[in-house]
Amino acid sequence: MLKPTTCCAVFLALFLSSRPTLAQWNEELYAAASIPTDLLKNAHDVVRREVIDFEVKNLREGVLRHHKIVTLLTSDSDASKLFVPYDKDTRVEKMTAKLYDAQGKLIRKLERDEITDNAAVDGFSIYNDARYKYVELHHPLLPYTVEFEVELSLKGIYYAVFPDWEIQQYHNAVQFSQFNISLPAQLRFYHQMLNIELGPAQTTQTPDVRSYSWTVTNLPAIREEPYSPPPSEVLPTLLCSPHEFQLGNYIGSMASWKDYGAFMNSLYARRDVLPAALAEEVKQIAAQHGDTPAKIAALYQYMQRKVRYVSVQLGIGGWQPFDATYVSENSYGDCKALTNFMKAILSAVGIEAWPALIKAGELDYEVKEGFTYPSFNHVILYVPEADIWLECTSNTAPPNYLGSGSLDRNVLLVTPQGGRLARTPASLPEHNVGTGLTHIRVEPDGKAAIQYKGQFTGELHEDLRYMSTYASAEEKERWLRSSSALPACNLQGFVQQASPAKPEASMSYQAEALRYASRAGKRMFIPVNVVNPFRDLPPRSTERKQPIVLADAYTEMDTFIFSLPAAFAVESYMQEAFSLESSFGSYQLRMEKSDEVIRVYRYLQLRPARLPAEEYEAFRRFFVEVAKCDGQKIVCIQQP
Amino acid sequence: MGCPPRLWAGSDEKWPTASAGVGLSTLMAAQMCVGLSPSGSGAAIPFLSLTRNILLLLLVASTGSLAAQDQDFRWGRIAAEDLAMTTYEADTTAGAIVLSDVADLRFNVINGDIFYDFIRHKRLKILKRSGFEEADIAIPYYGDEKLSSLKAQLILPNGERTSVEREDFFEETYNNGYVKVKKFTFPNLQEGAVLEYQYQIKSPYLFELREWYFQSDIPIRWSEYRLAIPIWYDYIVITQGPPYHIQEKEDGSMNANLPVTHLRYVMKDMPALKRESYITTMDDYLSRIRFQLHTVTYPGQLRESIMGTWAQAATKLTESLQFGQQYIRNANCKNIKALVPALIAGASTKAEQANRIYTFLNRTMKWNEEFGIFVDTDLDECFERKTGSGAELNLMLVAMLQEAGIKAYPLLTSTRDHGKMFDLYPMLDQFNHVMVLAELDDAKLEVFDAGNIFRPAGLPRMSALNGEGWALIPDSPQWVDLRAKEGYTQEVFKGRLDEEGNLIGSWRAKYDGYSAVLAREDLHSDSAEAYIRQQLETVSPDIIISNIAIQDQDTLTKPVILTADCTLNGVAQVNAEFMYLSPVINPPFTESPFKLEKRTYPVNIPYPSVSHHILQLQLPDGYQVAELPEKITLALPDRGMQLAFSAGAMGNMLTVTYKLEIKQLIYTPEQYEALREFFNICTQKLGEQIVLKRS
Repeated sequence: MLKPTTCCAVFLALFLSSRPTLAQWNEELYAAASIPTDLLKNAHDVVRREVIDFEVKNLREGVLRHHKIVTLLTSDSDASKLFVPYDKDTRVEKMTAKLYDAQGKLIRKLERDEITDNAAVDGFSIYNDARYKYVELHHPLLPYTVEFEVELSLKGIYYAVFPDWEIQQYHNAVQFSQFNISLPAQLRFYHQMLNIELGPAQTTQTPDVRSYSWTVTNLPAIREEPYSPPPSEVLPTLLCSPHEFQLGNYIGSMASWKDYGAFMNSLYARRDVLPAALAEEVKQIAAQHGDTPAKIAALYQYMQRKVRYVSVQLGIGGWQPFDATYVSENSYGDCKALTNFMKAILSAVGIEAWPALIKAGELDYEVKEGFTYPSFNHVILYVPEADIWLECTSNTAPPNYLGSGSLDRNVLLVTPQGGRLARTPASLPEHNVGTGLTHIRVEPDGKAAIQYKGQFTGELHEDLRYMSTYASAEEKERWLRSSSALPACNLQGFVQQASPAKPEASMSYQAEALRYASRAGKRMFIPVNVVNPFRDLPPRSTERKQPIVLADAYTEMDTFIFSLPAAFAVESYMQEAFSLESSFGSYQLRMEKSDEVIRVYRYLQLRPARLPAEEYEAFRRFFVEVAKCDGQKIVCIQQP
Repeated sequence: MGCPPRLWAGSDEKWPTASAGVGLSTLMAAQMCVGLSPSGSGAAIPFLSLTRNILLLLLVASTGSLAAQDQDFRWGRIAAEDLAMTTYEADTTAGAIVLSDVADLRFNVINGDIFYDFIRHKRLKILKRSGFEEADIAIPYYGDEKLSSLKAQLILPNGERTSVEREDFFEETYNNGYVKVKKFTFPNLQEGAVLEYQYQIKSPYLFELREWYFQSDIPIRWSEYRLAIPIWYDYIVITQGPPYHIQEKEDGSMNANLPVTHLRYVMKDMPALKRESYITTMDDYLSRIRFQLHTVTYPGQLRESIMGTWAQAATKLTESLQFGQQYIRNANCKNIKALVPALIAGASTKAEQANRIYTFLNRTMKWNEEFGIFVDTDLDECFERKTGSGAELNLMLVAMLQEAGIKAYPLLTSTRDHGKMFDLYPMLDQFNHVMVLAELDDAKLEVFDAGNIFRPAGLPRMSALNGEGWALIPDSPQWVDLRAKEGYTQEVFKGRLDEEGNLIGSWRAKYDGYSAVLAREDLHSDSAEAYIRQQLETVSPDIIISNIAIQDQDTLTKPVILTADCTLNGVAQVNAEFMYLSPVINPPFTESPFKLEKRTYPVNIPYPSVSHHILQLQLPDGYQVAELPEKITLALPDRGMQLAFSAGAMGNMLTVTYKLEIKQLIYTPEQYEALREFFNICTQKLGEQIVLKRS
């Protein structure tokens, strides 16, 4: 499991290992033929033997040793690549690799000059001090076996998030894997086993050191399936957290969310004081607005105008914000710094607000009560007295709107009394609504003039809001063409407008398509929906094991009004009315024919759902039918 | 004065920047030493050096006005109207523009080391939020260059200034310290702000001076590059794009005793670059200038040719430890050569021998995704590691073919995204890839490009299809035209249409040339079923596939043939007594690839192709054809592209065929409209419907 920490990517993808005793070691481990047959099914590779050894030295540092022997069975395996992330505090002490052929004969050892060393580019930081070493071994004939040994001296953030034991990846069988952790007798740690029952650890104890050990053997590969639950609900993993740890001069604890939140609070403490002039300015703004929500909205918009998001991650700065003065002087900061800055603004007018640590984007692991495992990568701000959430890295979001990547999930509120979990607002189909009206005037030669107007709320409005501020005309046009099925056309007046106060936006465009309808002899075929046809069909999934998880939550309501050329009459269309209903979705398409026009009404709603594996085919069928219906054509024929 | 620095030649990795101004790409990369050993002091030199121009595209030298600029380029002197500007008149959509980008390149001698100082001062205006990303600056440079005197400041319309603090300049290193990047952003950024920054780079790389881009993704109002080059050095100047606004050349002196040539190039009001697809690389078209060292004449010494002639370049390459000596000198390739006898045992023709060696290398070695013409790791060591760059793999092939007694030569080329080649001067940095030209039976020449198990002899990787290459044939190095071989696809569907609009039948596809390469790659990375599904899902998301067979998947010299029984559900739309069928079940495109109304740069298609499709269907009982699409033949001038389409019915049997041929690969912007119309009609034709009516 990756443990993203606050706002910066600190990935400790590796586990550690120690030398196994010679008695356990044996040459068969290198030969492909000795893999038990039941481990071959669905496997791209098989971990023959893996030992991870995490030795906690003290509150600040530990040593991670990882020894792994993997046999690659198919070219889809990535197991011949070794990626070792580190930073200024953490040292790579050892990194070796060996390559064996199918018979288990040593072919060669890695040479030092094969290792590349690079700055880790996370794609959003102007600067971070994360680096990585990387190597890949090659062998032309599958199967073959690689052996890696890595030793890291962990310190700083890389230490504070204890390494986990990712027992299995998708399509990865495990013959033997062991995880050992040892700590000085006065230190403790917490752990949680996911998706596997292993029972208690083997423990040994000396007066100075306590050791824990878990072992798995012969785990068959797990197939990756579309629309699955997140990996943390499928793949066997052991998560670990320290009881106490030290980061720079700060001592923290993961004994509870309360304690961890208190530690985070200490990192934020006394950094939320605005320069006097600025404090005065925000007080004046607040004074112009009546109730608390109005004050918050005005101050949030002030902050949005004043600063921008720039990410710089250095050492403890991965977790600790730049102070409010720095942000006010530079007018930039990362999510921590901007959240802290907004907190300072509110604080200056007497409104208390709390930073909330969150895992934004895909929720591969969701934090829960009962186990303090800080899987976060972002910070937002919560104002308790008004129950308002603020995304402080956006210059365009309306007040109290969290983007689709932050809604409906547990977060850790960092309060002066310590941490506590809370939940961001849910995203429901009625929050994310698109309503469109399209006029399509078709000419006898198949040419059409299209006029579109639509309103969007919630998640559906986000792209439009972003584009209205940031996108060039070309980017906008590209977006429209990829999000619709408009044929080649001459686009005029593509306009987006976002509401400053609410999560709403509208868009409109006019287009002239030379070949909207295809002609064949005296007939003309008019596509019903080129505006938002459903095209994202679930792939097939046979022998399904995992439950189906549908995260989509939206509602689309469209009206298409077709004006036909005088000489044409409708010959046929599929059905007057078509409707589909299931637990996770509804779809209706209805045609109405009058003398001058054909009206088509379309309704699609998808609702978040979790369904049993055996319903996958029916689940897929729903979307196939929707796609087919959206893709149909009205057939017209020229009157003699 | 002592010994000048070593000069390095050759070019490898391309720095992924499209911004105007300096690109690192031409600076150098691989380690080929061209020794220079002048001595003596910088006494006045009695003759002048000539700097030549290679004029690409439309360059017309506008020798220039010495007109004084009304712009003040001095640090911090921002014109009031620039501070006040709210939109850029010439392009009101611009989120940011470059007000000026001015660089000086001067040679310098310290303690006998000759190097150049490159001093750049760039000034930007931020107009909208969409231009904020222009405030994030990254300056790439090589690890053994020195960046200094970096300063940056922001000026608001009200005159308020903020400097970037020292601790807010960051440095990242890549490739084990080989490349560094200085990064920073501007504080206090707002719409309307003017940003300026300046830095100096001290560089020992005299073989190629810093190149300069006059054009970028945002408009540039003024772009100026000034160089002062000692007359000892004679550089070839390669320039492309529209004529310069100012171009000047003047003799002068840098220090009292160092005569120099002053060069000055100015472009003004350059519009933002619009990127287009179906192109080799935008670098082939945007306005830029490069400098390559041609000869050196130190005081009191004879002129020394650095670039020399193509013949000299050939000799240099042949003697290079990182090129010729890799496949010539036994110490570097004895192990791979030792494999050859066993590999070719029993092979009677050169073609068969060559194919065995080529196939062996492809199956054994993995291309590491790197281009470049020089070898980093000795060939035998590459073999040990089972991985190598394009050059390493192909020079291994040269070594092994030669060992087999086949005449084989390195064939240097430039990949499409590395840009076009020009044969006037032997500049090795125009190449970034090495292939192999081999003379097989009956003196037949064949091109090999190792690095992938799916391409047979004669088919270089698609990225290397750039028209020509330079063959390093001892004593007669020469340019070779490389006409790409075609891709061929034939698809046949035979079966019946049922009353629900489903197609049931057998599907057969035959791929050859580049089409086979693509098919084999896909069939390797995914199952045959997934591949077929992907081919046919445009007409039906609901497909049942059985009895899949693949013929000659691994025999690259033959076409690959794929057959299967397929049921394509819901292909025809059934409305009451009518049925409507799109008979092209695997259209090559569902919308035209050329949607843009106008084209600024030529269209460049990598290889010619033919696709031929046949559909034979038995119609459901009780249905008759009510309407068939018309037969057409459509061609561009000179039959550069052709489409032949026909549909016919005999009794209850329906036959639809079409053949699309692409022969001409390059289309000028003037030819674009015809090309666009051709694809529009094709798209329409291939989407036409057949109407069936229940009788």
